[in-house]
Amino acid sequence: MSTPLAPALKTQLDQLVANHPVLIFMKGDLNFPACGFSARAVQALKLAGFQNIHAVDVLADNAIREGIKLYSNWPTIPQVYIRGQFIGGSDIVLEMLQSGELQKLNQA
Amino acid sequence: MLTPAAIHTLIAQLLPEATINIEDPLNDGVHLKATIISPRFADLSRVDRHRLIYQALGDAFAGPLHALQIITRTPDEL
Repeated sequence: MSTPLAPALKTQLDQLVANHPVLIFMKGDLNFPACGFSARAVQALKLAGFQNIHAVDVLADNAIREGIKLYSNWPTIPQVYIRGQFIGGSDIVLEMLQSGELQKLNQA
Repeated sequence: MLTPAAIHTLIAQLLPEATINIEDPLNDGVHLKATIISPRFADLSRVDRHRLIYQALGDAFAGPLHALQIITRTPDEL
């Protein structure tokens, strides 16, 4: 966590965030999450009505797995970005689903 | 492994005013749940609340801590 984010990796992450309005960095993929937290975050997005969710499997790319933690200043996976904005991890998207904020984000 | 007691201590060092409860709901010592209640959260977004807890835990997520659910509340939110 102490090494700075390499410029090429930062550019790669910038492009992912810019190109995918509903983006989740997770362990596993949408159909086969490899971690309970990732599974719950995906489920929350689906229940809020989000479609065209773009998932990046951090288990398939260790540079992204470590880089996204620096990029977001957030030490855990999953991480959700909606329309370029960092939303948080699974606890936060679940809270926002329960409060209705996540659904409002989808309709905004 | 970080024990629930160790997690409690780390968070209490940064947030001495907080009410902190660390649970081990599956009784596996791995999937832990922290509920932290502090008036200090009132002006913070959810993301910043969590970042504060992550700050308290230091680099634990780089090693001994694997799965921690974090719930943050102010006393007014209870």
